[in-house]
Amino acid sequence: MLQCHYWVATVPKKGSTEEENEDFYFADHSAESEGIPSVKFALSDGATESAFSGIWAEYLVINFEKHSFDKTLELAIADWNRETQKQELPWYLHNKILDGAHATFLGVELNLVEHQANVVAVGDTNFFQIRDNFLIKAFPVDEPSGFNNQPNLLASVTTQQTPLDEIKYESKNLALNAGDTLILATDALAHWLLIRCTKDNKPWSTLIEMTQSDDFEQQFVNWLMQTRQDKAIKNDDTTLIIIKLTDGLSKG
Amino acid sequence: MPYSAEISREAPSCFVFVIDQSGSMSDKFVSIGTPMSQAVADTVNRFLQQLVIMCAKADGVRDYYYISVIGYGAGGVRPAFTGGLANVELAPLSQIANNPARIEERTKKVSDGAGGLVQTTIKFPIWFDATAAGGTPMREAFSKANQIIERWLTEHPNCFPPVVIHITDGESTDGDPSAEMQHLQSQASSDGNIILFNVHTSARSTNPISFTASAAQLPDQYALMLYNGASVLPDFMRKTAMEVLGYELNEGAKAFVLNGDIDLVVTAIEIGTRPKLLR
Repeated sequence: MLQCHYWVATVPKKGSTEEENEDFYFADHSAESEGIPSVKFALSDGATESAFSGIWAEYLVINFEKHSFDKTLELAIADWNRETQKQELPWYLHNKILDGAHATFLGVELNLVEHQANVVAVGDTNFFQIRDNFLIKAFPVDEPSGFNNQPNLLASVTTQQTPLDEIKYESKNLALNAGDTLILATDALAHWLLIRCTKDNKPWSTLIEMTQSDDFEQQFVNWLMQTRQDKAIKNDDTTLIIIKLTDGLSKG
Repeated sequence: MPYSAEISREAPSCFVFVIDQSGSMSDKFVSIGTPMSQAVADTVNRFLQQLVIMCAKADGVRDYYYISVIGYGAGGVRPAFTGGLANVELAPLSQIANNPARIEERTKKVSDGAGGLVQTTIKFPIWFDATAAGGTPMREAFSKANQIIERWLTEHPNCFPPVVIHITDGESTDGDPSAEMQHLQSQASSDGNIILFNVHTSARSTNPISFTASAAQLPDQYALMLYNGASVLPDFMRKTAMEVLGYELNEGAKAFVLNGDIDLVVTAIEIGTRPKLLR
């Protein structure tokens, strides 16, 4: 069976506060424990254009911890409606919430016993699988041109939802090996990765090296600030989850 | 590359409306039976609403834009907001959001998600009322727009360039505004020149001309003056126009409408104000 180790960092866009960061993630607290048969990770990027998209993203990742994707969506919609209807809203929010909130969603479930992953992804928050220093899977976006300003999104109001049966949002039974590294990234970083992949730069090395540091988060923040300053990455809320898979100790 | 600056709270941009409120604006658009002044006021109120809603987040409205609405007519040239914003020349969007003169409730039909429609109530704030009286001091109005833009650019030298939208149905009664228009067009931030729309509207809307790249078809000197005063649409706005109008505009197409009905006024505003690079 496999064991997993993970690192997370999330940074608001330049000019926004920590509280305004609309990227939300869930990482199973027990993920690094030995002998855990399966673990879940989720990442969601609330759309700048909608209101209450931060809490929408948050409810999506929270509900994914204990539920299937379909159930997650159903529960998150109920949570979001309850939250937005409990207060008297100014006219502009009263009108705006009729269109709901929008967010991307990436949910990953790793079956560490069967060495398999199921990935569900709506939008441009992306999953990458690296094996032997090669990118073997990028999902749902697999080329830089796949990043534009109109990604597929999950909507908190069902009438605003892009029909999910029209997009490929699931990748099931992906084979996992000990030594694989999985990267979950919101769009700015995912775009950066894919652009550099096309130049055969193995850009993931830069990110994976940071896991050697005692302060992964600070390393990532420093790198991101510099990369933004160099205008090599879009100024956006940015979240990175790195998951390394190793051979786990078999339990007697 | 011009017109590539991000619009953010730290680096906001601005929209200035210059609106003819002279007596002739009380004529009714033949197509809809509403006075031009009223249709234009509704259009500007609706635009402000949509912009506020677009920039609204759960914790309030973000000041990505500052807005000025200048009217010219019987009272000379003055800020056209009413209510809490009366006499305010330029206001951040959050101040506009929180200070409508009044809020009306209107019903709207929306999809119920199952192929049907349900009725819902939306709030319809009003900042700006229809006015139509007196002459057409267009030159002075552009002088005021120049002052507002000069001050704005001094304070925001690297901003995404402001857009000025001038809506009129008549000829200037205080002299030739051409020099003021040329000066306005020439003002620039480090990201590019401001963009001036000259949108001429008329009750009958006969022989409308819009976003043309050539002066050849213009009927008279007055039309030529408005055409010359208008900016050439930058490439990104021609792309927006393609989305809004569904057809391509020639390079050199101007931010210019002649004899437009209210739909063309709305189209011009949409092309001129569709946001870009909000952060």
